Amino acid sequence: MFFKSRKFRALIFALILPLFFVTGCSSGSQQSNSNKITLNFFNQKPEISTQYQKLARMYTKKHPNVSIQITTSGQGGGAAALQAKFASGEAPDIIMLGGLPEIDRYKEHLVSLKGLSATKTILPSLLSGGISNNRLVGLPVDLEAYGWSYNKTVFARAGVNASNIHNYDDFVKAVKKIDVQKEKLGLSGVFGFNGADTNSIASVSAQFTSQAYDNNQVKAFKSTNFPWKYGSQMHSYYDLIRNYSVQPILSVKYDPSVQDLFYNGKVAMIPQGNWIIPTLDGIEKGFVQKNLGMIPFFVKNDGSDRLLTGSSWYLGVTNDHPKREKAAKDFINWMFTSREAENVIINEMRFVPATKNFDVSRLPDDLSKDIYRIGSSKDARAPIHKQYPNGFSTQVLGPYIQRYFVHDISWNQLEKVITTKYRQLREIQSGE
Amino acid sequence: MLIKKHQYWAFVLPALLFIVFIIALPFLIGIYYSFTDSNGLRASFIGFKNYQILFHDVIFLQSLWLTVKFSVVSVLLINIFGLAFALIVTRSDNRFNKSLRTVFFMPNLIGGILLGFIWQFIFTSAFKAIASSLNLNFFNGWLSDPNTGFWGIVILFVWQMSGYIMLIYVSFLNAIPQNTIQAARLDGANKWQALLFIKLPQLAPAFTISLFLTLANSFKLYEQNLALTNGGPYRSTEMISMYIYNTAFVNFQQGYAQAAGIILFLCVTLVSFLQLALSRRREK
Repeated sequence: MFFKSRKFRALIFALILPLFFVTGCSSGSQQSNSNKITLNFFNQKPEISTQYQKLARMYTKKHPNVSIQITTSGQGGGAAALQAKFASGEAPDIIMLGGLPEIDRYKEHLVSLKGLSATKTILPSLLSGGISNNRLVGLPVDLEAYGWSYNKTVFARAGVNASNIHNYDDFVKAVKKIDVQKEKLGLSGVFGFNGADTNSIASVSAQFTSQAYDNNQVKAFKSTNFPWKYGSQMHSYYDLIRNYSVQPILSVKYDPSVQDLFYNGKVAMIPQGNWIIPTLDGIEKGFVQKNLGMIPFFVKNDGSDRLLTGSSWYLGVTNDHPKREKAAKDFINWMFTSREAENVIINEMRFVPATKNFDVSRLPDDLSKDIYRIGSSKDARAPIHKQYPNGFSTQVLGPYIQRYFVHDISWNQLEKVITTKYRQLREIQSGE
Repeated sequence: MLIKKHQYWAFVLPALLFIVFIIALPFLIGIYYSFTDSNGLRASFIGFKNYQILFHDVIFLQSLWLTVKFSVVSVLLINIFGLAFALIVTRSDNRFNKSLRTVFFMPNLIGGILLGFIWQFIFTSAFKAIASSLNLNFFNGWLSDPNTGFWGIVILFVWQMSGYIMLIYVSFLNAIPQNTIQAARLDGANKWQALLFIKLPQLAPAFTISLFLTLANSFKLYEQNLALTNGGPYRSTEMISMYIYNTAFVNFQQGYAQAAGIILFLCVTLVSFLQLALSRRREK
């Protein structure tokens, strides 16, 4: 009979053998790891994953029993990938989270970071972005500035001096002055507004919505109303953008707007912050120091407007693997407080640190120094667009502003639809 | 009997287990989740509420309608092009048969995401160059307009699928007995008559398969949509699969997205059954 034949038994044996290998391997590795800890770090910023790898290697060198495994997923897919990790039971030990809606999703998994030596160094204006249920569970990754990035060479050739722009009227005058010289300067537009990119649209909107919450991110996250207090100023700015930006405005994407339009001096300004520094210096070393400057949006228009400074990303530690919790906290402490880690963060990631009492002179370019001065001052103001309901930026605000850009809807219609959709999304997502 | 019963089961069981655990069970669990307010981590039962909201959700209905429009247009175009390609490469007097087959089939070997990026380059950069050098505004900003954006996806999908459908038509064309065509010729039928009255009726089973494949694929289209327009401008080219993904993984309203997924499933099943039933009847 076939069942008893040697061939059949050989077949069964061959089929079962790999199973032993698989189980053998996994149990083997667990044993050898009993006194060694592997931390899983979930990173949502692909552009700095190599620098994080470097930090991980440096840390392992000092602490041979701790190794750090970095998983990177970003560019829109990060949030979904992180959720998949939790759903599959492989919760990472350190997670990077974008805003309170995401922190709220994992609140039961996040441990309090109060009392950590890293926590004590964080700039006070940034702390509320990591608070869930009155517990501090996230620390800001860096300090980012939001405003207009301008090309100093273009400004100089157009005869515009950025330090003389103090209010909205000055700004409009400068825009018009550049616009009439467009041909002479070889510009495709005054602004390179990347209308195709809903995230940029959202971060610009924060210029007009952040004042209402007075740096209280939790309040912004709880609010069911889209703040229209500075709506008329928002309207003027979006009209200005619509009239003086590269056309067709909806076909301008983020990467080309930075790497082609801005870098090649085809536009004078783009609505981006210091996160474009690594890209620009990556194309040409020293470009940032020579050419990049920032001007704020004039919203209150009373002389108090500064660049908004905040952090889009916060780091949290999970409680899913209690044995690794302390090691994860130690690693975070090291990242925020040790000089060697700071050096990698400021010189290679080109971040402005989110920590207090930082020696400004260590930062590699003047813009970063300015940003730290603004961000660490008393009247620093953080943007709140990361606290919009899940999907609001990319599914509601972005698309409707795009419609406004191409005259598909009026400003009144826009205000109405944004108000209702904002409330709807907030109510659906908070009503668990 | 050549195979004993237990041996039969030994061969079928692994595949059956995979189907049950990877397709059937998740599908049933998915149906359950469509009645909850799941955000992916927490879920509670809310009855038919998701479905109620869904039928008043303008954006959902818009993207469903867009998908239907897209499916009709692309199914027609793909089958016309596929059949035309098949007729070209099965001509006996064509020296380039083999190389043409390769050329027509090639786009199908490239993944949807890559195709999307290739065509994105064509629509934004190449079209722009044509527009500025020939002064034709028609070629400007194709992907930043809802209408041309829609046609952009259609062109991309037709370009990708026609070669594949061509293969099906080729195999059926080759299987047509030559004597039927020769007999028609002897009776005085010209080339067009031979095509219309002899070849096409014998291709009926090929139509069934091709229509089914293109219909199901165009309803489920996602990655081409993602890579080419990502739903833009202002969500006007967001098809139903993308709507579901975004609701689930951007808005994190996963119960709601699941309900939309069930609706999509019902649509695809209904349309496919109707189409199969109709064209099977034709075949007879």
